[in-house]
Amino acid sequence: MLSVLRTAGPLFARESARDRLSIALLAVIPVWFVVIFSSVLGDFSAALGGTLARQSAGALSAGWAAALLSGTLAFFQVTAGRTADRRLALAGRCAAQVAAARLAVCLLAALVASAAALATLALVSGVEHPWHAAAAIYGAAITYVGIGVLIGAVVHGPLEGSLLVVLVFSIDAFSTPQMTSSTGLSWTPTRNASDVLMSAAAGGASTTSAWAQLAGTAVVSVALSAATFAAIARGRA
Amino acid sequence: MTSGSRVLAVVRYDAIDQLRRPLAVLLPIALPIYVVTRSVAQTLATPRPVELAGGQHIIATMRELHGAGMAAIAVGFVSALLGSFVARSAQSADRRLAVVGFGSRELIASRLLVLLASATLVTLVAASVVAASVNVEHWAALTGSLWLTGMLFAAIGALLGTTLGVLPATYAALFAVLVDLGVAQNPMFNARPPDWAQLLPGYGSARGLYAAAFAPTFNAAGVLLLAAGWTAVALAAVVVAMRRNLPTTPSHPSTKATAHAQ
Repeated sequence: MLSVLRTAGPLFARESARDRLSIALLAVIPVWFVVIFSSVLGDFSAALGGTLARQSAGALSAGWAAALLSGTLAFFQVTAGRTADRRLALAGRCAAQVAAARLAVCLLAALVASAAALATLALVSGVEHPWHAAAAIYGAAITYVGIGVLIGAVVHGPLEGSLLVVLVFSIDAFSTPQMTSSTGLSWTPTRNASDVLMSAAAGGASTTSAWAQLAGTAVVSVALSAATFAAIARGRA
Repeated sequence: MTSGSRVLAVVRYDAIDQLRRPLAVLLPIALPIYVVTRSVAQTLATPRPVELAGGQHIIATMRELHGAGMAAIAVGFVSALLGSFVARSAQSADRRLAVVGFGSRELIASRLLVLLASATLVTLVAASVVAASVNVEHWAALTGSLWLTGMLFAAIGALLGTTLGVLPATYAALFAVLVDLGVAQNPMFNARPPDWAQLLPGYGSARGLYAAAFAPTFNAAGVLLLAAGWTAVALAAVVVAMRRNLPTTPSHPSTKATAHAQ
């Protein structure tokens, strides 16, 4: 298993790094969300009847930046790797090993996106509990890795699939309770991460239950992503 | 084959090509309806003072401003997306069409007609939804402002599609529309746009839109002229980019154009 991660993992990572869109998204999205979006998010939530404070808006936008970016990059991992992964499996690589390498690249991309978002947040508005915020941002990013991979397994067109990731993200983001007065959806993918993030931004501590739910969502996302990548390598998705 | 029939033939080829994409069919109709009605339904009717083009000060509600603003965003994004599709189709097909006898003016005119048709379609859908959701003061001026938004961002999308490819162009268009129309020109966040926002291409059409929607007396012809100027410049740039894509050798008008050229 480790030998595959050492050989296929760096190859997949280099393949991703060659994509100009990925690099542009990594540069633009964290800055866009944290600098521009967070400055108007408080006013926007007030218009919708929400109660989002400015400091929470900055933290929330950092989590959203990492989530959207990770979901989009994970989607492109699936679309870019579908044919290659099947050939690798046909050539003798175990499908589980190929899936592990793909998943490792997605989790690494999510880590880079989370670090970029956290760094932008720290520079722009600061955060009271940076380690809590880092964990919550990475949790949101891992959750969207799962969403991006699942969408990639179903939708093959790069344009259609990546816009579907954006659509899911938009519904998720604007259903956050602090963003709106309407009851909306009772559960959304980044709900737990958002709660922990807003507590971290305000200097408060999250409950054990909130951390457990965040960890549970991330574990489910990783498991679903691994199963989906393995199914793709076997030619079943 | 006359020049007019050649133009119409390319328009028909391009329409068939675009209609193969589910997004090109779905987005111009579904997106404006969804975003405008959802925005109006979810936003509170909180009073908001706004300074409109022409110096008029009015009190609108956040709900009305959100509905009108989302119409502009939907028109801008969909037009830019379709513009990038048309530009990519032109890049792959127009050189071959030129070889079989189509003139560069005919090809460029046909692509611009497709941009015009798509911007007009999404504008009419968005204007109808806004009129059904918000009390619009000047319907014709609102439709004109939205149409200028559509044509401007269709041209920007075509330029992005030519230089970046469809996928990066889609994201670039999304961010451009959200920064310009969604944040900089949006009266939900500033009573009047900040000074730097006046440098952005969407300034004129957005100011015209809000004046048309909410001003008791419409006297924002100046900003609409500015929007028309931005649109003309962007379309001129599209013409230059499309002309550069075509072969420099003279075409052969006697050659019979075939429907398989695309």
